[in-house]
Amino acid sequence: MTPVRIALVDDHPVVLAGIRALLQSAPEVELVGEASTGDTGLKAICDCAPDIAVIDLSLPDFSGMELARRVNKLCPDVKIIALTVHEDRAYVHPVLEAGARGYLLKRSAGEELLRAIRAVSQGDIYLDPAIAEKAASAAPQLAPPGEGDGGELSRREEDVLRLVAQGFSNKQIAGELEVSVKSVETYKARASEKKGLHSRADIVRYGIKQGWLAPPN
Amino acid sequence: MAYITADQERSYARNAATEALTQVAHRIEAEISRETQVAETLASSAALDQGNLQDFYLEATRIVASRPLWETAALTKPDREQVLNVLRPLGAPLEPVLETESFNAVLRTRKPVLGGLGPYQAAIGKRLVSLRVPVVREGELRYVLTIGLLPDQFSTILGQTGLPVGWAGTLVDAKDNIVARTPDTKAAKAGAPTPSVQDAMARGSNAPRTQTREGIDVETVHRVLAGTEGWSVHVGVPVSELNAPVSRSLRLLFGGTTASVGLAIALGLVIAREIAQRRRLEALQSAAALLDSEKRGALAIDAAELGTWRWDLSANEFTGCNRFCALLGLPGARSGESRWSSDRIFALIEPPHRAALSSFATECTESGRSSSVEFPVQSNDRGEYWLRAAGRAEGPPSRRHVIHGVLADIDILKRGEAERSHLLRRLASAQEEEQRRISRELHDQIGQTVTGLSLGLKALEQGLAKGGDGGAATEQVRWLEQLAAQIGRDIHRTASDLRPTAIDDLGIFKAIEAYVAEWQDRFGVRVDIQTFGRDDSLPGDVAAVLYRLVQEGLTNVLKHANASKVSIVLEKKSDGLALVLEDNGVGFDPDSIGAATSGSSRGGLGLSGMKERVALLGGTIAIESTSGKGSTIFARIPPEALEAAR
Repeated sequence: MTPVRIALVDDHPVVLAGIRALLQSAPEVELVGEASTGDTGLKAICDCAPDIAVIDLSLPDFSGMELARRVNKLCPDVKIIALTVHEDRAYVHPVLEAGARGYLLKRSAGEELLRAIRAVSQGDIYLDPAIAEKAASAAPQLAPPGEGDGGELSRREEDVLRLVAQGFSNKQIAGELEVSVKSVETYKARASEKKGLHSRADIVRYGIKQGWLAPPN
Repeated sequence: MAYITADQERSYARNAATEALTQVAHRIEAEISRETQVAETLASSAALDQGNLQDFYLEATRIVASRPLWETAALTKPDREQVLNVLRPLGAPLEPVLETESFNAVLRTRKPVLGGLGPYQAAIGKRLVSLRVPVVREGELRYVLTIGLLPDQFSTILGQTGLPVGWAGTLVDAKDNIVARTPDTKAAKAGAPTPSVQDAMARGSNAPRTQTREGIDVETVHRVLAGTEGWSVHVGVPVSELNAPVSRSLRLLFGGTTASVGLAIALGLVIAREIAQRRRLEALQSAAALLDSEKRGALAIDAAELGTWRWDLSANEFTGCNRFCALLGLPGARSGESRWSSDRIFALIEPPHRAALSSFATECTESGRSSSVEFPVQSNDRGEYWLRAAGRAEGPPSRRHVIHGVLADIDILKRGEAERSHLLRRLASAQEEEQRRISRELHDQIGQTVTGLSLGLKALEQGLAKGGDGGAATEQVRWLEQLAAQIGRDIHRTASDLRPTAIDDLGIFKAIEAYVAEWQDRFGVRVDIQTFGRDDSLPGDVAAVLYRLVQEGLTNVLKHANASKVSIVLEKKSDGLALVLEDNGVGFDPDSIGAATSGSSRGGLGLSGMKERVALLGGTIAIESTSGKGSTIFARIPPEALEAAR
């Protein structure tokens, strides 16, 4: 079996040294290129055409995400594993979108790097277990906007709902419509019930659908 | 009843006319002082140092061509022999001076003199107003420079002051000759004082009821111009115009006059430079630019609600428009007072600041440059409030004794300044507190774990040296790995607290969504978040404040609300940015919010701190809550703050 050829881009010498040591003890991989900036990394990757490039997301010149994008465009055959300290799930999607096939946290690299390389070289997508765990336990189920009783909104109810969606406080709405704050609360509750809206965010989503929110400039 | 109404109308007309008169007078005074200054500049030309008439002729020709008001410039020896007139070729024979009164006045006083409307000059077919300026070198009066000013141009200026349609303005010289008249300029050439003017002059008091040549019933007021040896401006308001909405016209008029005060200053500079550089083109361009800026200036000044004033230091008195009176709390035109002694004005200013006004005057007269001064005044209805006066004295150093300027109400600015510095102080201490917290976290948390790690490594080393059993060593290594991972997580969290890198990497909306998702997992409170609009153009400071707002809001929910559900809405729209954070918890009395949050612990700035941050962006925070029904925080950041950093 030919070893999997790896290129490594990371601007931290300690991390580079650690990963090098780790890979040297594994016969099924071979380190063929190293770089510490986005620019030199792109050159190294395209020159030595590895099977897999391991890229740190934070590089001194341009971001690893950008590097992944460029590698993906210039040498689409190279598979990319993103190496990062970011445990925010919010990063995962943009990184995969940029062309990476693996998302690996630096703190788990010691144990997981080889597994990630194996998975990605076989054509799988690899997600760090710490991230995957979180993704699995994701968001306690939000009640989906229910059907409501479907009743038509009265004009007042619609006015109140529209102003709530537009971000006004009850007091402001009361002033705008010249009714009491108490009435505003009542209209809002009744309208929400009719349309099955459970939260302010629900009301905003409903408002967007109704075209109540002017398109931003 | 009918009588009262008519009387009120008349008094309104009188007030309006007096106000218009002040404006027109200031404007004409500024014009005359401007022309005088240009003439003096020309008189100080280097060409005359050596008596180089050839160069001076060229220079004078250039300037006459660039000044709309100037018809001619002539140089006359003290013995009345004319040596040069730009209307004639250099060296051509010239007749002696015709009008001697103002000429002799210059010889006597060695100061600029504005003569009256001169005799008809057959050579040019016009009557001119002569402005005479001494040419003094080495203490000796060598020549008198006479500038022939076109009366029609004074009419134009009078017209440009923006008197409302139907109002009549008249400029009269010391001998009651009408120099200019609006709207009808023919009278100037006719040259005879009109009955209405004579009437006005004879009575010598403001606001007689009279008739114009055209037989229109008018209210007239007049005023003698400063620095002109008895010239006067008259303004007549047709009684029939009383019902017309005059206030708008007055505002326009006001703007034009104030702008011209500033322009007189600027134009003097332009001309001086023109002489120095001998570039006519530039002068013309400047004139065009100034005309343009005059229009803009008029708008700006009108919007800025400035008062105009004139401070005659030699007479020790002030004159000013109605707004000037209103700003200072003076009775104004209604009382019939139109000038105030300097002492009277100084008395209005809070004692500790009077010296500032004096040094402002000194600075103006000494430097000849624009200067400004800020001072508080005390009034019965407003209490103490701040004003700013800006002005400039014109002319050469020895003759700078009149300062023209504007007065502005800057109280709101001053208050804003005080509030802002208070906010900045509070914010600085809040930041200090935050840094202390992070420092503590580094020492107490991460520092301890690192100690644990190094102790553990030591133990492992000793254990291996003793050749202990492999099982225990492996367990020890596992524990140390956990410690290292713990350190990694702690550092990452602390760094994120300092500056959430997600804001830069993913944009503020995604960063907040990520934070919220994390928070939801950690504390098991459901958060429903909805964003609207694009977040890509938000300045960094706004994004950071938004992030902290959400952090602080969620922290408060956790500490106080006992809620099971939170809803967050972020909307970026053309009218600004709105953040709404709502929970379904126990709610509270918003009035007691200060007590509840000012001492916020867990490193946060507290809601009051967030209010300050939002206030620094010009935004607001409102809280609505009812006991038992949850609470909602509304934060709004105005569109200006979103533009600021671009």
